[in-house]
Amino acid sequence: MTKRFTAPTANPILKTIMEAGDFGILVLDADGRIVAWNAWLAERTAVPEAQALGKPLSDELTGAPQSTLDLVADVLATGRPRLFSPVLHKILIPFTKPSHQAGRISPIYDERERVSGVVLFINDVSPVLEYERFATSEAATERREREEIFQAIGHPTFILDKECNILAANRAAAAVTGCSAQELTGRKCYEIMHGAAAPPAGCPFVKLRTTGVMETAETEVETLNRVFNISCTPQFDDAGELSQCIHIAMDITERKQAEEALKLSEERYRAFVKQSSEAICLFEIDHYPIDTALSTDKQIDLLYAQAVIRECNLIFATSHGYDEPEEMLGFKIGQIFPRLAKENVAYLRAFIENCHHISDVETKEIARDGTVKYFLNSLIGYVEDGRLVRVWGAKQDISRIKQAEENILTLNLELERRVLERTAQLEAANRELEAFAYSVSHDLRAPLRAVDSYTQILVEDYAASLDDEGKRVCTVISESARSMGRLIDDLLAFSRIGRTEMRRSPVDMATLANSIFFELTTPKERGRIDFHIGPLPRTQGDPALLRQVWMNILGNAVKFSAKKERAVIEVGCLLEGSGQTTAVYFVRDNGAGFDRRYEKKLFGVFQRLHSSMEFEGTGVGLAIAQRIIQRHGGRIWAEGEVGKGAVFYFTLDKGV
Amino acid sequence: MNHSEVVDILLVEDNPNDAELTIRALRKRNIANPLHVVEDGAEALDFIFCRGAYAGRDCSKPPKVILLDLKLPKLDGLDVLKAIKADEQTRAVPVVVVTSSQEDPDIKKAYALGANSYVVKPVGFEAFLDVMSSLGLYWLLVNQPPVK
Repeated sequence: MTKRFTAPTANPILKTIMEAGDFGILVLDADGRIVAWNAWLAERTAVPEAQALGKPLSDELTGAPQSTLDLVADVLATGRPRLFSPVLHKILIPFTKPSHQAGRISPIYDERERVSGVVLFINDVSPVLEYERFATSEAATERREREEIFQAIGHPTFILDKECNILAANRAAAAVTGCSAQELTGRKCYEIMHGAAAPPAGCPFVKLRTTGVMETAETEVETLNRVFNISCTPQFDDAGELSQCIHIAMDITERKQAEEALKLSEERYRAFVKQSSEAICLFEIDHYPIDTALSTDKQIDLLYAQAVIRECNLIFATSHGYDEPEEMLGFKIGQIFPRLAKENVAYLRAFIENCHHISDVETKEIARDGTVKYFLNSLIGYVEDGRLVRVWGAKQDISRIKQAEENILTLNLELERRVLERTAQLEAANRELEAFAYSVSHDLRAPLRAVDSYTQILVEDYAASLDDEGKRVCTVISESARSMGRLIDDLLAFSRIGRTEMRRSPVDMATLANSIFFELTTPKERGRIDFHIGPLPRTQGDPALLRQVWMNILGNAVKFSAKKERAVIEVGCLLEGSGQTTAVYFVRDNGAGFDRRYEKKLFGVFQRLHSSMEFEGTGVGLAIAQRIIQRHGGRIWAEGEVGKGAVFYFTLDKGV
Repeated sequence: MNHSEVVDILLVEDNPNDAELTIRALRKRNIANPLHVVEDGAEALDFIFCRGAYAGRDCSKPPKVILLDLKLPKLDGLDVLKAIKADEQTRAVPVVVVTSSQEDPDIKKAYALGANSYVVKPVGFEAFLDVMSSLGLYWLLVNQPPVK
């Protein structure tokens, strides 16, 4: 067979194309033998040109697949060029490395328009494909990531178009509105958020449409009853026109509530601290909080070194002699709470040892003018992580109270002195009274005795010289003297009641009353008297004095009922008072009684309501009884009616 | 008065009426023992301790009983009592306090100082007679004196 082609290398242009072109060129003649095999191909197939030339393509040398051979045959037969794509054909001629190839098979026509061979142009498109694959996956990842971020935003987030239509809504938006993202999409933002037909006043998106920059606003969302901080971020298209907006609604309801609460708390604090009538101050620990594990002494040192007034109210300032709280800011604790005063150090010690808390303890402090002030002081320390960070102090100025206390003390002393003085005066008066009683009993009785005795002597020794009238007169003189003697004795007895010391012990009133009745009466009298004695509670008192009471009252009952044919004397007791602790003893008789108009006189000394002819007596008995009952803290009174009898009552504490 | 005479009853009484009535009461009950009256506390002590006006008296023969009033000029009856009871020689002599006073403190003080008896003189003459005579009978006849 003749060679119909000249080597392309003969032409310098073709040679350059063959050698420098970044693609493979393979020329086959009409018989399918390789007539050209450029260096690009040689390099990728590892088949040198010399080895390839003159060989058929089908040769094992090139390893070309049947599809390539079929395409070549088709072009040779039809004279129409064929394109080769990596998708359909994958490969024209295998390279030593895996590759994706694209190319074209073009027929070669001779001067007679006959197909005399084909040219195969082969391109390795692997890098392009790889890049495309890479680019495609990048975009997908980015989209996915962006979607994930959008969904992951914890705050309800919409993407809006220029007309407030929701283009997308995230999970948080769906959760908070109760609608799915699909349901939200396409609706107006303000419909969803505000249930309104138009954007509300202050809507940040409306603002953004004029300003073109991100806008935020706190908006109350009525439909959800919550407060949101809404941020609208614009997005622009390639032409710089606003295309859409990222609308993030941050729920700040809790924060708003916390802010409100804080505001209220602050207001309350201000109100309490500023208006308080107590002096309040805050000490902060400068430099470094005090380690509460340190010894008490060391902590006291540090308090004096580092505790500084940071805040105080007006009362605190004024109680230290300053006009404004600001003047005291920065004061060290020692400036108002001197360490020289032992009680102050003791106070801080107690504060530290009592878990940094102490209340209502009296302290002495120094005011601006140097005067000593007394306070009722309380301290509360705040310990964080085992370190004392600040101390709140509250105290009341009790200087005036202290002053008053001192005044009271002085007054008390004065009072005590006066009581002593009075007591001394009283004692002196009592001594005088005793001297008087002594003198009365001694000096008055002797002359009386002389009157009586000498009258008797007269009667005895000079009876012969006296006629009957003379003897009667002597009798009157004697009786009068003896009667005066009794009066003196009774008066002395009465005065003694008030002066003798009382000895209290339990007294069995029933036994006492009963035995006295027997003492006072003869068997004959008892035959005439119906004596009834009811249960009488025991009492607490002086037995000798109470004996005297029964003696006088029962004695009266016996005496004043003596003229009755059947005398009835009844002794009993009632209980009165809360708890029934007061015993009201009574003695009732059916004797002579008394006129109620003179009731008051009954208990007076020497007051008699009956003549001594009718009933004998000096009129001291009831006065003595009254004095004894009064000394026991009781009352005594009487009821009566002339001719019908009398009742005498007296009260005493019921014995236990 | 002859000071060497033995005196059984020493009556210390400043009131001459009471002294006379006492003597009368004793005599009326036939108590005729020798009796001497002194009018104040100082004189009483002079008599008892045989000094002053009574320096010549025989001190070895003390009275069988002393009737002592409490309210006395110069030296009080209680002081007299104290002096008698403080002395070894005279401590044993019975002292009967005879007075108008019923005041508790006097009675207590008298007994505390060693009085052998305390008698209140009644106002009535009959009662006075009874008291004084039984006194004399008891101390002079019933009671055994320490010194024979």
